[in-house]
Formats: sequence, C-alpha cells, structure tokens
Amino acid sequence: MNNYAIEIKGLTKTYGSHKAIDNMSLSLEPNKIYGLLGRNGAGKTTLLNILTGRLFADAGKGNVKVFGSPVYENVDILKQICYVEEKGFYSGVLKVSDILSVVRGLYPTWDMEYEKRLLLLFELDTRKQYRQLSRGMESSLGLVIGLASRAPLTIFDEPSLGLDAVIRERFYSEIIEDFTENPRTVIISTHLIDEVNSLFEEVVIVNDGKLLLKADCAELKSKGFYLSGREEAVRKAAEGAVVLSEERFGGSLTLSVYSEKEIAPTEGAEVQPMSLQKLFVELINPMIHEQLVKGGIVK
Amino acid sequence: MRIKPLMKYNLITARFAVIVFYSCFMVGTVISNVTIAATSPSTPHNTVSIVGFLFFVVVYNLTAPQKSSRMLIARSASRKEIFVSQILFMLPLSAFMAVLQIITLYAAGLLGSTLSRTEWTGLRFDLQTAIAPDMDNVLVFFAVSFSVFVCFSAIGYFVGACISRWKWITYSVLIVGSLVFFSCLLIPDFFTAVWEAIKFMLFDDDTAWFIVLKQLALAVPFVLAAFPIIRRITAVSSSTGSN
Repeated sequence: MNNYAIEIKGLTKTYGSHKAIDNMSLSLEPNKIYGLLGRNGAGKTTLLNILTGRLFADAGKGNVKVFGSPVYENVDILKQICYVEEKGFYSGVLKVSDILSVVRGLYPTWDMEYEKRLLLLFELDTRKQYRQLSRGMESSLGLVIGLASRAPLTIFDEPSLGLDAVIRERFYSEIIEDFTENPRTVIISTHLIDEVNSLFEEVVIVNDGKLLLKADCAELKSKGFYLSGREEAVRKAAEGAVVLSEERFGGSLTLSVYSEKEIAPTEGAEVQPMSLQKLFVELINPMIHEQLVKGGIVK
Repeated sequence: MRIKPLMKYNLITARFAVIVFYSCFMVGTVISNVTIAATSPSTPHNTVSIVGFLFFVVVYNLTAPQKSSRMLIARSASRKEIFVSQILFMLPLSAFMAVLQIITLYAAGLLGSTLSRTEWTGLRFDLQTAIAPDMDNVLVFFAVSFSVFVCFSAIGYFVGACISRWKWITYSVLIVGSLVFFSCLLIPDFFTAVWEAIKFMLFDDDTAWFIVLKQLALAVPFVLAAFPIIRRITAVSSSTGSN
C-alpha cells in the first residue's frame, strides 16, 4: 500500500462534449505544499471539486483516492479535507460567528485557540452577516476556516481574491509558520504565481484538462533562464536548451530558455533567472510543450 | 456521523426564516381579525391559518436541499449526513410550527372576540372540528397539524431534491404536470376521485389519529425516494464545473 495523500488514475470529466479533465493521473505525497497552476478553464477547479467529493468523475473513468481511500460518501476521509473555495455557499443572513460555530463541528482537528488568533490577525468581525462582508473579508473567512481546520488535506482555491497586500502577506507568513508546526498536505490554486510561489514545495501545472507538469518548485525555477547580450554569444550559451521565446532590442538579443543544466554567463551573454510565472506562461504554450515532450524533458 | 453541527446549521438557517415568516403572519392575522371584528359581529375563525404554515414548511424544505446541501457538501459533509440531518430537522420544525399555529389560533380568537365584544366561541369552533370529531382536543389538533406539516415537508423536500439534481427537467415536469392535472379537474369523475382522495387523507369520521397515521405514512415514501437523489447531488452550481 502506498502512502500518497492523493492518488488519481485515469480521471476524466466531461461537460457535454467538452473534456474538463482528460485522462489525468497524478499522485501527491503527504505533508507538502503544492501549487496548482493553470489558466482559467484549464480544469483546476473541476479537479479540486472531484478530489473533495463535490463533483463526480465520469462513470467508470477514473479512480480518485485521498489518504488511500475513495472520497465519495466516506465520512472518515471527508472530515480530513477542508476545501476553501473562491466563493462560499453560505446564506447571506448568517453571521460569521454562526458560520464558524457550524464549521468547527465538522472538523475534528479544528483548533479553537488558533481560530481566535486568526480572527484577530485577519481583522474579521464575527458579528457581521455574511452578506455584509466585502470580497476580501469573504476570503479572510475562508483563510480562517482553512487554517484553523488543521485538516490533513487543506485546499485553497484562489485564497487571496480581494485581499489587500497586508492581509496577503500575513496569510503567507501564517501558512508557513503553521505548516512548520503542524505539517499537512496543502494545495493552493492561484493565478498570483510570483507572489505565492515561495510557499510551494512542488507545482502541478494543468492545461486543457491534462496534467502538463508536476515538479519540485525550486528545481523547476532553476531551469528557466533569460539570456541576453550579443546574438552569437547568446545563441552559443543557449545551445542544448529549449528556446521558449526571443526578443530583440536594437543589437541585442534576449532568449527565454528552459534548460535541464545550469547555464553560466559567458562573455557577451548575461544570464538571469526566470520567474515561475514567466516560465509557466511559456510552458503552457502548446508549441513549446511539444518541443519539451519531443526532447523528453516533460512527459 | 456529524449530525450535531449539521442540525445546528439547519437551526441557524431556519431561525431567521421562522422569525420573518411568523412576524408577517402574526401581523397579518391581527390586521385581518381587527378588520373582521370592525365589520362583522361574529368571532373571526382562523382555521385557514394552516395554509400559511404549510406554505412555510413546503418552501423551507424545497430550498433546503438546494441551498444548504451545497454549502454543507462544500464543507466536507457527506450527502448521507446532510440527508439525515435535514429529515430529522423536519420533525422539530413541524412541531414548532404546529405550536405556533395553536398560539396564533388562541391569540387571534381571543383578540377577535374582545374586539367584536362577542362571546368567544372557543377552540371547538376554530379548531377545524369538521375534519374529525376529536379535533377540539388541543393535543389531537397539534398531532394533526404536525403530521400534515411533516407530510408536506417531505413532499417539498422530495421536489427540492429533484430540483437540485435535475433543475430544468423538474421544472418542466412540474409545469406540464400541473397544467394536465388542473385541466383534468374539469372532468367530473376525475374531480370526484381527487376530492375523495383529499377526504381520505384529511378527514375522518371517527378520530383524527387516523389522519395523523395516514399523513405520516404518506411522508415516508417521499423521504425514502429523496435519499438516492440527494446522494447524487453535487456542490457545483454551473455546468462548467466552476463555482
């Protein structure tokens, strides 16, 4: 028996003729922070919905296990999953205190003291009704629920929507601090890649319903480079690497490259690391992806 | 099963709806009684009040599987837990509404007779004695109201579950079915058969306890039929899979 937190085999989900998830297989180890990246409509939310038992895969197409067991109607597993979605389904008339009083009863691992601390940290007024909350406050409530639940699998889908920079920074610090003391499997789906990527241990990139890449975040970031300088020197330095894009500024050339090996600066060619967001944008380009597949760099 | 927090959620969501409904209902009852008392010397009868309560329990249970279930599935509750908590919640809600109905009848009857300066004919007149001979007993009256509320709650819940699972199909079936049903009422034999069925369910010549039994017996198949439907509802509102 393996000890994956999440194990997905051959998962497919279709809406009419559109395949939201296409024969996806993926395994995630426990007690790591994963970044789930993908464009809008790539299948991230559908994947998360199926993982958490909110949505069903196509009949007979896919096997999804969380902590070694199927999720559907499995209370023992469900109580270990806390999925903080972009938008809650809470009734607008409920007060924040009402919502928390119900939710804390659903997770056996809930930490009441931590909840109180988080409410102060995220400046959330528990007397307010849900409909009175701003978009940022709704997100803050989600953060309190996700963090205080201490659920062994905690999923945040766009956790920082509407949050100001101060609260976002507090969240990033808090998740790292709490993760160090209470390790658990955390999945963060976000479009704010550069802002959040310091949290990720691994990244999972999905595109058009397929798994594009699952890699160690630091390792992946170490493979993206900008080479700039004289054309001949730059092209020479880029030999053996996959060129993702190129731009010319006057007489100089800048190449974005993906290289399995580290590229050292040479005379006439400067080397700069590429941000994860830029690398992500390049990697989801179908032509680039094809090159990487042909080169055996990704599956 | 995590029934306690789910029942708590049901209670919290129902609390607000009950307060709003009952406030409006009470104000409406008082106004109508004052109006009747001012224009007529007789004591107002409030037996019709059950319709308002029925409307409330049906609407509440219609919306419960649609709104609450989604939120609870999203918070990692299983569909079985949600189903059990929602069915269990029908019982205290129906009992509470039956108590409120009796309070309304007493209060409105007293108010009406005071305003019209007539002798209050008492509960025996207001308490739907037509449907069974022992309906002037408050306990029997409570049991009948309770069973009718449970029965209509179950029907409402079943329809709500169908709407959650197959929204437009259910709406279409309800609209077409209603049109066909009301058209068929024009056929005398059909009308008679429907009336006989209603009489069988809601009237009894001997004792109202049979009415209670019949109502509860009718509720059971609707509850059982709703279970497999609830087990397949999703927490995703649109066909694109996003929230």
